[in-house]
Amino acid sequence: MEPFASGPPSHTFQLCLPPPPFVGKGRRATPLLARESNVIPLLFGTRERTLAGVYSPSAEGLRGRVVVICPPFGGEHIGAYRTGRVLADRLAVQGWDVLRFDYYGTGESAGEGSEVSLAGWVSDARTALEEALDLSGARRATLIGLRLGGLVATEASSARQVDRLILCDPILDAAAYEAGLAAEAGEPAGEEVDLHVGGVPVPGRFRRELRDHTPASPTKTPRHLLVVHVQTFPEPRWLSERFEGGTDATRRSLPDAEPYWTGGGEMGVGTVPVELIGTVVEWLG
Amino acid sequence: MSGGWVETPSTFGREDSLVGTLCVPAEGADSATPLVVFLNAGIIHRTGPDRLYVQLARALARDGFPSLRFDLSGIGDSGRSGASQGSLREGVRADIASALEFASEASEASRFVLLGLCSGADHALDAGARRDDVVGTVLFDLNVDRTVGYHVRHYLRRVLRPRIWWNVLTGRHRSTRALFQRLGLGNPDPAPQPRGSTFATALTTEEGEDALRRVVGRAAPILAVFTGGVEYQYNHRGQMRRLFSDVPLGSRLTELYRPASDHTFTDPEDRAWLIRTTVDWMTARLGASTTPAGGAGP
Repeated sequence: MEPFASGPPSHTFQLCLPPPPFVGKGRRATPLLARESNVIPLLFGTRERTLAGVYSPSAEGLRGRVVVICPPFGGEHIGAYRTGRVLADRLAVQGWDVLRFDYYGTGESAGEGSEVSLAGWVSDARTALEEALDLSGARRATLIGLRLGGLVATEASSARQVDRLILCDPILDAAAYEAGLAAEAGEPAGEEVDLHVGGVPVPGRFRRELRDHTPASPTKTPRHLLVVHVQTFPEPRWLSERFEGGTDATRRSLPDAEPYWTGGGEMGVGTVPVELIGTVVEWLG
Repeated sequence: MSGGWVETPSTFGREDSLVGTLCVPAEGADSATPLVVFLNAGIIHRTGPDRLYVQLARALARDGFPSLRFDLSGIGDSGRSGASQGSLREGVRADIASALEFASEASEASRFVLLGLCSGADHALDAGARRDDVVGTVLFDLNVDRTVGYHVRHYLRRVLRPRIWWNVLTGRHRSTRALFQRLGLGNPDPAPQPRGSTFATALTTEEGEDALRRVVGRAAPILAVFTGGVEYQYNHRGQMRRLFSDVPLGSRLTELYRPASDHTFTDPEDRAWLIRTTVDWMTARLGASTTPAGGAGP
């Protein structure tokens, strides 16, 4: 018997309402205490595409400032998970509400790994954005993308509610990334066969999406942009133009920091990049 | 039974600092059906390595078993614990107690199975031995000591490798280098690395024996799966039974070895095998039709 051979599961998620401080869409009755453990795991999206997230309310009550964090993919998602948690904690202390979430087919969200899709993830990021705006009462949001989440955040940042974009070691050359995944699996790039990289499915359709991806237009990304990285990465033309264009685009390199999405830690869990998190928090103010 | 599932994320424990996801069969579960509690594999958050725990939880729910996967204090989304001023192991026990209390209130379950990979298996055995409401344990790559049988197999396999003999003859092998050093003909090797688990909460053989004795005393069944990913400490089926030969494990222990698999079951076939094996074992040993103590099974 194959465990998943009986077709798509009929599943539902219990609607997870935020606890009492939230009394309705974006309205909060009382300020929340500031402490590390103050997180609210929740589900949002639709019945067909339910997403799991963790909301960290601002330590100082309603201030109308909200951040959505788009995570990396695969093993890097696990590797950088604690980094996302610590980043959210630090931002919450500074008065930001923060929503972290898992794309469809990843983490705690619904869906199978075989169903992942770049276009779907951009849609998921926009769903998370709407959810964060609802919960926080904010009218504008900041998107942060880590690794492949940087590509997702860049695509999703064309939404009018996004006024800041932060890219942390972003993967913006999707075709090169796909080639890297194929190499890691010992397969040639450019094929459409399904891969498994580590324990993570990389469907052929997803690979094609990555290969065919065209970079976002610079005119569609927010005016306020921070790129912070501990490793050098190939910079697409639109990003170089942003830095040369005199707009509010900042680049910070932290060459002494370690890659936080992989390696050093136990079972592929990376170390938390304190300097990078400090840079992000300081830039947001 | 093969149905759907319903998931509910929650916070619980002291100051609601623990984060977990309850996964129950869509049709509901009999209160006599044990609820499976997943314990973190190392410091990987509650999804497990590459979603192993998510996949296994949903597969179990399709076959009627509810579950809770949660983060221990300081891991994933759970806050740092202020609950225990004692050792790390005591803190883990306190977190597991909180998880079982929450699961009991949320699902009406009164019987539990603790499941973990690597350090999670250590925690499952340790905590499971101390609670009467834990009616089974599922251990993936439990940290175990090597036995005489382990060493015999280990060295036999090495002796049969031509490459080893080539290294001996060319002076590259450790034993050859050691001989040269004694003769004053070589540089000393670096100090050997400490062996065994990297986790502070791993059980010693004596502690493991004591825990198993308690578990078996309650007639609670144990599924222990080992992989080739921990070949440095386990290399043949039956090693665990031999290591704990003073404990009357009998048919309570189901010990399986998957030498081709790595530690986190990254290969799809290995993962499918593990999920199927676990669900089948749960059904046979702890399903609704079995006796509370767990009847004879595979």
